[in-house]
Amino acid sequence: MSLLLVGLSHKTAPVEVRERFAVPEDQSGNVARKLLDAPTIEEALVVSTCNRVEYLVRAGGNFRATEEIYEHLIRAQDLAPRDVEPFFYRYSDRDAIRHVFRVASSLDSMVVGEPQILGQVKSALAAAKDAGACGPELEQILTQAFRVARRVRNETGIGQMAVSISYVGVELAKKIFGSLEGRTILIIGAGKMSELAARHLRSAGAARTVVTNRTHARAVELADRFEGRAEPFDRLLQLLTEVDIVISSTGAQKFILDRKTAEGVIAARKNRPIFLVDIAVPRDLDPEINTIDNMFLYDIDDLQQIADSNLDQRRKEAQSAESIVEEEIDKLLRRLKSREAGPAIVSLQDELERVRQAELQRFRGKLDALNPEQKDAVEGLTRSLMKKVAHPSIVMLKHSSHEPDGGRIVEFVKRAFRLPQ
Amino acid sequence: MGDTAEFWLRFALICYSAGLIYSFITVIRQRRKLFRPALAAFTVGAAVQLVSIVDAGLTLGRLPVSTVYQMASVVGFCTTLAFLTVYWRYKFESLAVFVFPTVFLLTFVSILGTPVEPWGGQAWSRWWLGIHVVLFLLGYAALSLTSVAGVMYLIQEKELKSKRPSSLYHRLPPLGVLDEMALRTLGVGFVLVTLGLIVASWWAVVDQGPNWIVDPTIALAFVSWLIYLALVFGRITIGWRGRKAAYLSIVGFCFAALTWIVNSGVHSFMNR
Repeated sequence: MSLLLVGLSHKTAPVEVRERFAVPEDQSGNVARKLLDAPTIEEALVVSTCNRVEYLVRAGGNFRATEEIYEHLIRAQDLAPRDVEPFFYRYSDRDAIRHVFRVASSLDSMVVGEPQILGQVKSALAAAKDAGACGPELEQILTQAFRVARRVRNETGIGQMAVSISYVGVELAKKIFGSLEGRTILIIGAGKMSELAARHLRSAGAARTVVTNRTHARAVELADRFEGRAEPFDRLLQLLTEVDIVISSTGAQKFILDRKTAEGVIAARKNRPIFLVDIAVPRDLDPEINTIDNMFLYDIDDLQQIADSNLDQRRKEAQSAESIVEEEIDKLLRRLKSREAGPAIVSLQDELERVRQAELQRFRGKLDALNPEQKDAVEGLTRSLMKKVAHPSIVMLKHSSHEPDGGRIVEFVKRAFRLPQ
Repeated sequence: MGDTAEFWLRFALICYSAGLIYSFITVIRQRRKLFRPALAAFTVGAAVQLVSIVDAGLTLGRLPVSTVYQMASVVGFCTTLAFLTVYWRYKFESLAVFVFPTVFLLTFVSILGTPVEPWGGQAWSRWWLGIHVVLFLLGYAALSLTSVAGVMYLIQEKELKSKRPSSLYHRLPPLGVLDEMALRTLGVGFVLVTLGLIVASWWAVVDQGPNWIVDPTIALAFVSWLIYLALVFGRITIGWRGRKAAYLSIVGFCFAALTWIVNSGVHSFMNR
C-alpha cells in the first residue's frame, strides 16, 4: 500500500494562499471523487478548514500520485506548477499517517489542542465515503486517527486549558464558584468586549445579566440583547452587593471602585465571593482589591498572561502526545501489514495444494497399482513435502508485519510463488 | 442541691434541648426553621432554671456557686438571660445558633454534679462508652474533611490570587465546591461531636462520679468543642468564608488532634 499526503497549512502558506486552495465543505466529497479519475489514485480524502487543506490518497503502484494531485490543483486554479509547489508539503506512508494523526489530535493546529479540527476531519471522511472516494484502507487509517485523538485528549492535558481571554474568564469563574448556574453578571459600561465576555459566561450557565452605564440608553440597548435589565449608574454600589460576576469596561479615567469602597462591598455581601473582570484601559477597578478576601480581580493583562501560560502548558502536553502518536502509528502499520500477509499465506497454501494435486493426478496411472496403505504413505509424503517447502515463507510472512519493509516481503513471496496479486 | 432544685434543673434541660435541636437543624440543613417554638421552649427553660437556682439558694442559705456544677447552672442561666435581652432588644436571631448549644451543655454539666446510681452492669457501661467513641470518631472524621477542604481552599485561593496558576490550579476543585464541602462537613461533624460530648459526660459521671470534671483532658475536649462552636456560629451568622474560615477549621482540627493525642487511650481518671 502506498499512502500519500499533499497539503498546506498555516505553517506553510499565508491566508491569501490558503483561501485560494480552500475547498468548500460541501464540495470536499466531490473533489475527492474527481481525484479518482487520475490513473494511479485509488482512494482519496480531502480535509479543508480555514487553516489547512489536506489531500490524502492511496495510490497503486508507481508514484505519479503527487503529480496527479498537483495537476488537479493547477487545473482547478489555473496556475503553473511552480506556483503550487512552494506552499505544499508532501508526506508518504508512515509520515503521511503521522501527519493525519497529528492533525486529528490537534497537535498541528494553530491553537494547539483546539477541539474543532476533529469534527472537521470526521465530516471530511463522511463526505468522501458518501461520494464513494474513500475505501476501507483510508477509512481504517482515519478511524485509527480518531482513536489517537481521543487518547491524546484523555491522556494529556492538551485540551484542558483555556487559551482565549474570554474562555480564561469563564474558566476562572468556574474555579471560583464551581457552577455558574444561577449566577448574575453585572456589565459596567456597554462595550463590545464586555458583551463578548458576558456572552461566553451566559453560555456557560450564568442566569441573569444586569447592565449599567453612564449613558442609560446604551445600557438599556445592551440589556435588551441579553434579556437582562438595565440599572442607573448611581446604583452601582448597591448592584455590587447583589451580583456574582462583574465585567467592567467604562471609559473612566479614574478608578470607579477603590479598595476602601470594595471592603465595604464585601462586608455588605457577608463575604460572598465576587469575581471582577476589568477589561478597561485605563483600568476601572483598583488592583489592590485583589488582596481582599473573597474578592477576585483580574485585569486584561492578567487574563492574557493566563491564556499565554496555558498555551505554553498545552505545548508541553503536546510533547507527550507525540509519543502516543508514534505508538499508534506502529500499531496501525502492524495491523495493515498483517492484513496483507494473511491473504498471502492462504493463497500460498492454496497454490501449493493445487500443485500437489496436479502432480498426483499426473502420476495417477502408476499410483493406482499401490495398495491402500502405500497410497496413504504417498499422500502423507507429498503433504509433508509441501509443508516443508512452504514453512520458511509462511514464517517470513507472519513476521513481516513487525518489520519496517514488511510490505516488500509480502510482495516478494507473492512473486516468487506466482501468487495472484 | 435539694431534690426539687434538681428536678427543676432537669426540667429546664429538657426545654433547652429544643434549642439544641434547632441549632442542629440550622447547622446541617443550612436554613433556619422552627425558631419560634425553640425560642418559646428556651424561655420556659430559663424560667424553670431560675426556679431551680432560687430553690437551691434557699436550701443552702446562700448563692449556689460553690461547686463547678452549681456555677455551670448559674452561668448557663446568665447566658440565657443575656441572650433573651439582646434578642428582645435587637431581634438578633442568629445568635441563637451559638447560645442554644452553649446553654444546653452548661445546664447539662450542672445536673451531672449529683451522684447517680452506678450502672446495672459492665455491659451497659461498655455500650455507653462505645457510642461515645463512635460518635467522636465519626464527628472528627467529618471535621478532618473540613480541614482538608480548608487546606485545599487555601492552596486554590492562592493560585487564583497569584494570577499565575500552576498545574495545581487545574487539578484542585473550585473554591465554591471546597467551601460547600467545608460547610457541610463542619455541620455534620459539629452535631456528632456535640452528641458525643453529651454521651461522654453522662458516661463519666455515672461511671466515675462527680470528680470527672477536674480531668484536664476533658477541659481540653470542651475547649476544642468551643472552637468548633465559634466556627459554626461565624460561618452561619457572620458569613465567615474563604481564608478566615479555612484557617479556623485547620486550627480547630489541630486542637482536636491535640485533645486526641492527650486523651489517646484513656482519660486520667480511669487510671485511678
